This record gives sequence, C-alpha cells and structure tokens, in this order.
Amino acid sequence: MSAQLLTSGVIFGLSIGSIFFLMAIGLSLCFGLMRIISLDQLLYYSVGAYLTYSLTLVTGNVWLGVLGGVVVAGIVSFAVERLIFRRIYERELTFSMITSFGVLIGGIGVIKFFWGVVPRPVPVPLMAQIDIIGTEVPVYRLIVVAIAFLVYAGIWLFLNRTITGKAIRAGIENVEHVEGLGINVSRLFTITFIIAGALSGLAGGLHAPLIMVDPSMGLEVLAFVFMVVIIGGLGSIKGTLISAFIVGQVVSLGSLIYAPLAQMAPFAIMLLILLVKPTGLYGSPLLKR
Amino acid sequence: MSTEIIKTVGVTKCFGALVAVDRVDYSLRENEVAGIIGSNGAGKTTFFNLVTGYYPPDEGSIFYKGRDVTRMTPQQRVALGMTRTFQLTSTFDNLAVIDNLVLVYFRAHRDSTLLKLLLSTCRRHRNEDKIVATLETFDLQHVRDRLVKNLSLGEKRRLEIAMAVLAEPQVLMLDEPLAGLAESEIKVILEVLGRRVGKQTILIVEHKISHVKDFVQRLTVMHEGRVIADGGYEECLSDPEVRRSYWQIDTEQEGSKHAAA
Repeated sequence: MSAQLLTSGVIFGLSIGSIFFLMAIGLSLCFGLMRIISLDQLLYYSVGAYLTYSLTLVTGNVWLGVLGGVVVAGIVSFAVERLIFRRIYERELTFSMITSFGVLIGGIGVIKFFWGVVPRPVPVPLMAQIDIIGTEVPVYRLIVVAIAFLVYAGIWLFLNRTITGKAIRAGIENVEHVEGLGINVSRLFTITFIIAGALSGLAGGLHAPLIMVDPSMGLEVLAFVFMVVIIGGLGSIKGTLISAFIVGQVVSLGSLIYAPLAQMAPFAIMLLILLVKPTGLYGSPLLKR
Repeated sequence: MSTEIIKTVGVTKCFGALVAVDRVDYSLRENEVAGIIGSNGAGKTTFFNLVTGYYPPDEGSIFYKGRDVTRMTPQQRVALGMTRTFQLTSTFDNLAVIDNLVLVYFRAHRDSTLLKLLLSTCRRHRNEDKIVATLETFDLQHVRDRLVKNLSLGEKRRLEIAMAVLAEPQVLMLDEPLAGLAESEIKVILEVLGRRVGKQTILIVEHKISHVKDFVQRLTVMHEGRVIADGGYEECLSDPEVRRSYWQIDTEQEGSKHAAA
C-alpha cells in the first residue's frame, strides 16, 4: 500500500470515526443516565442530514444548513422525550429498544413523505485540499475531525465543570441517589436527551456532503454506531471517542486492504475487546440504576 | 406541644407473600430525635423507604406536616424538607468530595433558571462558607479534592451525613449510619449529630440499640414488620415482647428461674 493511499485512508477513517463519535455519544449518554437504548438517535441523524440538504437549497450555505439541522434535531428529540420516553423510563431495557426502533421506523416514514425516497446530494462546503505527507487531503474532512474534537472538549467541560454535568455524572453512577438529593432527575433526562439528539443531528449534517442523503441512512450506520458504544464502554465519553476512531480506522483501512474487511473487521475487534474487557474499554462495572 | 411532622396511618408493604411492613402507625414530632430499632428483617429499612417515597405502600397513608405525601416521589419529598441517607453509602464515587457537597448545596440554595442551571460551574460554589464549614465539622478538609472512591468507609459515611446536613432538611433521616464503622468513627458521627439535638427532627434507624441509646429521645421497636413497642429507652427495654423478640430472652423461663432461686 502506497504512503499516499495510507494517508488518505487514515484521514478518511478519522472523519468517519468523528461522525460515529458524534452519533454514539448520544446513545452512550442516554444509556448511561436513563438506561435506555435510544435507537431513535439514528432518526435525528437523518433529520440533521435532510435539514442540511433543504436549508442548503434555500440559503445556498451548507453551514447554515448544518446549524438548522442541529436545532431541528434537538427540537424533535425534545418532543420524542416528552411524549414517549418519559412514559417508559421505568420499563425494561428491551422495551425502550423496541419503542425507539418504532420511533426510528415511523420517523423514516415521515422523512419519505416529505422528501421522497430518491437520494439527495449535498454540496461539500469547502472544496480546498491540503497537502499532508505528499497526499492531497480534503480540508472539509479535517474540519469534521476538528469539530468532533471540539464537541468532545465541550462535553468534557460540561460534564466536569458545570453542576448539571456533575449531576449527570452522578446520575450515571446512581440515579436513585441523585433523586434522593432532591435534584430534578426528569430535567436531567430531558437535557441529556436534547444534547444527544442535537449531536446526532450534527453528525447527520456533517456527513451529508460526504454521502448521498437517503431515508434509511440511519439504518446503514446502525451496526457501526452500536459497535462504537459497546467497544468504548456504555456511559464513557472518552471510551466513545477512542472506540469511534478505532472503528473508523478499521472500516477505512480494512476496505483498502480487502473490501469485505470493512464490514467484518469491526465486529471481530468488538468481540476481542469484549472477551478481554466485558464492560468495554472504559465502561464502569459500577453502573447501576 | 410541638407539631407532628411525619405521620403514617396503617402503612403496609408486601413483597409477594412476605409482609415486610404491617399496618404501621407512627408519628414523629418537630425537633424530636427518634430511633427505630429491630433485628434483621424487622422491616425498618422498608418502613424508611416507604416514608421517603422509595417504595409506594400497598395500603395506608403517609403525611408530612398534615399533607398527604403517599403518592409523592422521593424528589418531591426532599423538596418538602425530608432528607435521607442510605444503608449502603449514597455518595458518588467518581466525583470529588467537594463536588458531592456542591451538588447538595446548589440544589438546596438555588434560584435557578434553566440557563443558570446549565452554566453554573462547580468552581464558583466550592468556597461557599457553608460548604467550608461542613467540611470542617465533619473533618473532611484534608480529603476535599479526593475522589470519593478513594475514601475509607468512615470518611464516606461522614461525607454522606455531611451532605444530608448541608441540605438543611427539616427532617434528617439516617438509615444505619453507623454500620461497619470503628468505635472512634461512631463517636465522631454521634458527636456531630448530638449537636443537632433539639434543633432538628432526626429519625435514625439502627440495628444495634447500644449505638443510639444515649442519643435518641424516643425509641420504636419493630419486629416482623410490626411496631411492638414505642416509648422511652427504659420503657421499651422492659417490654416483654421486646425482650422476647429483640433480645430473644425467654421471659417465662427467666421467670421460673427467678422462682426457683
């Protein structure tokens, strides 16, 4: 494999890993705090992408489209949390999984109704390329990686510096005890859900110029996002970031070596990590409801 | 006469065929320091969980200052002024000692809009007078920045009670706060709690009577989910059912021994 191919593969892996990270962070936080498997995050990813497509058509500015996608995805997730999840937090994990899958499928139907089934293209906002070790690399992909790191830093600061963030971390340890302090747990759940939805929307918006936007785009990345969450450890932000980049690289470099590896290798790595560390790389065995 | 602050009427809780709490009528007055004792499985903690809202009762009602709180969530009851500790410490292992206290302080003293809530940083509240004073009172200054998971059990217990006290509740409810502690640590905790006698309503659940006998003004003894005695320490101690059930003293045998002597 030539150095150029390897460099572009690594950059591609980093950018796809960044998208996985932005999507997986919501799933991970939702499980850590609320003990729900929120498959509907994949719907907010599609919502973010479609809003980016439509707003780009109207305004001609992709970044404005991404911003709109984030806002609308946050609003939709807020509505879903209030109308649906609030009623099922106490139910079993499988119940939330099935419900969220229902929301995802229903949401895809709504998307098909408004936008149809034909895949839609979104222009890349920045066509510039930059030379890295003799390889021309698209600047947009590097921006996506930078945004993922900025989000990581923002989430880290939020969880480690603000009182709400500390309360969320405390809730990930034990929700019952947080409630015992008189902290409004329901409000923490809503805040977490909106953050998760908005970040999934951001993932969709940023991914849109790199792919064709289609109604089932969420389902296509479902397995990878799950792998990222499981490898990283449920509820761990650092673990999610590291595992997102591992999965991104495996998908990218795997496809350079032998195309079917891109689909298969992440599963093998997940199984290997789970055999050695069943809670994932940074998952805490202390997690309890 | 002081006001009744907590009252339960016919409170019952079953787990399958087991009646964990059986039609318990109980009342606690303002500034009273009361204890509930009983052997393992007597229903003390279940009763505690019913009063604090962690279990819904199958039957009966719970009142707080005359208000029916039977269906209220634990969080709503905390907002009314009931704060509790847990048998297994309820501190947050992955947060620093100071952050555990800040969480409580912020909840107890906040006037928060959502934005304020989202942007308030822990750093701003770390040197609040009350938090600093609480650290000193409970001798936790030297571990203020340490993660709770690295504390000893005694320090964790002290922190948990410190958190409960910092919340400035009207009723402080302690579930076996002395369990697993060394005598020296028990002394520290009883000393701190002793300073609050007469100033605050305290309900303490304990397994061993010796720990609380000098501290509580009123004792309630539970056995198999029922209240079998309620009153002063001596009164409860001399109650034949308490002697039989709690101390497992065979009163009849004891009586015949006396007669033989």
